[in-house]
Amino acid sequence: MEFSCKFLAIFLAITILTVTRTLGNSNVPQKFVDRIQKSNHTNNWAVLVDASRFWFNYRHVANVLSIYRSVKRLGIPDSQIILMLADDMACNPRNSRPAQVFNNANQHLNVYGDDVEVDYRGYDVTVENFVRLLTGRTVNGTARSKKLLTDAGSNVLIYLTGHGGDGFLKFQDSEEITSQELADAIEQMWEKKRYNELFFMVDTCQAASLYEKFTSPNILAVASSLVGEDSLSHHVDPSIGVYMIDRYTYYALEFLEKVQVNSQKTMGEFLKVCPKRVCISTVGVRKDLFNRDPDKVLITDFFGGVRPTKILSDPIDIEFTPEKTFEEVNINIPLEGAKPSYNFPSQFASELFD
Amino acid sequence: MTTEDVTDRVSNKKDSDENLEDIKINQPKDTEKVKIYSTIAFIVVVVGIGFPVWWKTTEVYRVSLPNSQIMSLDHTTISIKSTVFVWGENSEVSVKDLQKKTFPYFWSLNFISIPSSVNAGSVTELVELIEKRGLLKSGDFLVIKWPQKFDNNVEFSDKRYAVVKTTASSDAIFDILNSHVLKSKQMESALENSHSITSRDTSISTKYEIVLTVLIQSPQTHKINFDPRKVAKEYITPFLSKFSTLTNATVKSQWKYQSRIDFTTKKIPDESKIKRHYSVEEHILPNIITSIESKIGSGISNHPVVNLVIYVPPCTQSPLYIYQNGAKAENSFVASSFGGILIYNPEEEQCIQQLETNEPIDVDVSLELVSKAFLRQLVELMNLREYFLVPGTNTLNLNKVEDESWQFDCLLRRNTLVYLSTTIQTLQSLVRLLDGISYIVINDDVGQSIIEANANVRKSERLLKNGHLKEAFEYAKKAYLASEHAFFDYTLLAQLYFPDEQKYAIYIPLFLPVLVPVLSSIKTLKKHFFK
Repeated sequence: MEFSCKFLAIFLAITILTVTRTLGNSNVPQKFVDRIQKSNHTNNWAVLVDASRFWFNYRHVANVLSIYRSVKRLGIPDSQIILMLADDMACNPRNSRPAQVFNNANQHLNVYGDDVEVDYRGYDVTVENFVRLLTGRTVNGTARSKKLLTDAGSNVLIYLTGHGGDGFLKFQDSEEITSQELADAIEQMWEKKRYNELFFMVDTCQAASLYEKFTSPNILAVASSLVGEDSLSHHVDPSIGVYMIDRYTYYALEFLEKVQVNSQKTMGEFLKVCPKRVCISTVGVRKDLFNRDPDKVLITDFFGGVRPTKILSDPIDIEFTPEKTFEEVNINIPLEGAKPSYNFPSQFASELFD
Repeated sequence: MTTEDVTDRVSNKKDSDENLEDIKINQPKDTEKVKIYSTIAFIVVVVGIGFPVWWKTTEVYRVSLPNSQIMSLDHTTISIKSTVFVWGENSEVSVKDLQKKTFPYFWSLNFISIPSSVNAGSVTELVELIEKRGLLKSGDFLVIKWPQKFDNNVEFSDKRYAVVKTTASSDAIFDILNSHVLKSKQMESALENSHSITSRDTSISTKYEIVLTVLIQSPQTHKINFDPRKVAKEYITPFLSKFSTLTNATVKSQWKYQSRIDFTTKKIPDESKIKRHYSVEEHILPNIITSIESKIGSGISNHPVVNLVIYVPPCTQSPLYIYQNGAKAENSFVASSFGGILIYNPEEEQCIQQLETNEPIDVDVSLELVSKAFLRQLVELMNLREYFLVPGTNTLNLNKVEDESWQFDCLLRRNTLVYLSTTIQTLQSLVRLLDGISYIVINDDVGQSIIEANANVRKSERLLKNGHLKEAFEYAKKAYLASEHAFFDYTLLAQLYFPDEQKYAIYIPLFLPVLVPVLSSIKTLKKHFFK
């Protein structure tokens, strides 16, 4: 009896297994798979950082402004873009085309645009401020516009550019952020549920070393070069006299310019924008922390903005009796016979501090 | 001469050597002892005093925290006590039946039947009588089985009771209690999905600002007769004051002129006198918000901002209607992270006149209409509909919202649960992070906050278990604020530039010159003691 029971149980288990297997190939779970593949974020944020200053690093500013231009065009509002620019190339005295920053020598595309809101500029771009921004531990009195007010429904794009080495990115020629510090900062974001998914994008030399220490889930990372490789600039504009942009970002922007708000292009395509033939360096990708298949993730999940709105169509009558207030009347009756009296306030410091 | 000299010197040397040997023979007892002792003293100073002092002074400062206590907090063990009184025919039977029903795990409900000796002529008198006995505290509820006939199966009051038919079965009462009065589903989601609650959630944040904005694109042609201050004073502030136990809000108002809003509209010909109207599709609405947001300067405030915007489109673009699924919808919409927007079209005839003559027109904005629309938006943003709309009706009477009502109890309970589960999560993640990341500093202030949050969570849980809802809410709020302060305090990163690796990198070059002779002298010591 006992034996037959066991046998029955095993038989049942096997049939259930085979049934679920066959169902797995049919259409029903496909819907389920698609639902998992669909992002459920409710807002988008972007943190764009150019960590290096000085005129010869013009290309890094062009890099970061290229991404800024794209995310803004695709719908992330300025209030949800944190832009850190270590130097002001547009107004640099050596810029022969003032108030403009171009991404190529033809000077067709002014990535500076008309409306750039820089949140951290010049010497404010420090490792400390960057980590404070990510972890949310800003110094008291920091404006709300300079804070990363993300929540569990936020998809966050982090873009870093500058001069990097194996395991670090240099800030301002004087300090560097290590890959460990970056990973720690992101871990703290995850622990406090301050992001839904994170797309980490770096364009520096040995960029892949920066995402190696990540352990938090839901991160998709791409780097312009592997460890041991240099990331190269694209070309020089002789009339401006400096390198215009880095190769990786140049091709990324070329791709992004063709993306529209309702585009169906995927992150999978975006990860392949710069093959070795044009980039010279090898683009590094890290997908193991990411739950979804990048080929099914829309590029607008990270570069576009969502904002769920609700039209108040259902009829609900609000009943509310207001608290009537009296009209404010300014009464200004001059007193008869009263002469206005004037007197001099003390003007010298010596009088004040007697 | 020279040889003599030499021998002489040699002998001299011999003399001095002898002298030296003499001294050496005496030395081991004095100088070498001194040498050994001094070496031991050096080692003791360096290893025994110097090293601990260095270790202590360069240590990352951390207040000792009740880590194990924090990790033992668990939101699934929260239990909420609530007493449900039943009055009327067969109340004892109903109570017995209800006691057998299973409510979700977090409830510990107490059913008590009120004897029929307590009686009165009307429902209100009866309730007064029961209240006088000190029953029906915050969090409690009373079900009255009243013999009179009603249209509905149940009539909810604005206090803490509902009236049902005498024939109502225990199943029906259970259903009313579980889904309407106790709102088990909402409570469960508040308890479980605390991570979906954010600082931007209006009903949860403890302090926020409401900014009324009047947006006028062409003030040269449209003179708006409207006083947003009056809306704020007469409607918004009195409304918000009803919820002052939950949140603290300040109201501001502003005018914005000449602010162009970029969004795409479609011109649609129609039968009206002006022969056309403009439409804006639902999927364009986020663009309107983005465009407006950059102009109204809400980044100035230190607290979360809820914007209530009234936009008067110019005559060249009005009437403007929002289209939903190809049909005209209400001209009012909300977005949870931003606030609400109301499109207020000028009168058609005025616009015809304005377009012909290009003379400025007076646009009279109805104060009541706009205020009601704003209140409707606030109700939506604060998620009050679920709690205050009487089931089965379409009228939301905000006049009747009061602290001593079952709806308010429900809201209070929801917020308490959200605060508690968020606090528990924050504290536990902080403890986990402290284990993993060595450079995080916990100074006295932050440590105090953590200890306080932990204590207040426990206090609040205990109060909830004993049925003191209001007090539990106060402590949960305190705990939440303390835990948020602790997690986001800027001093946590004070040692950011000085992690452990750097500590060694900086001090080893300093200490090496001291350590080398000390270490090498250990060898001599060894030789001395273990000959």
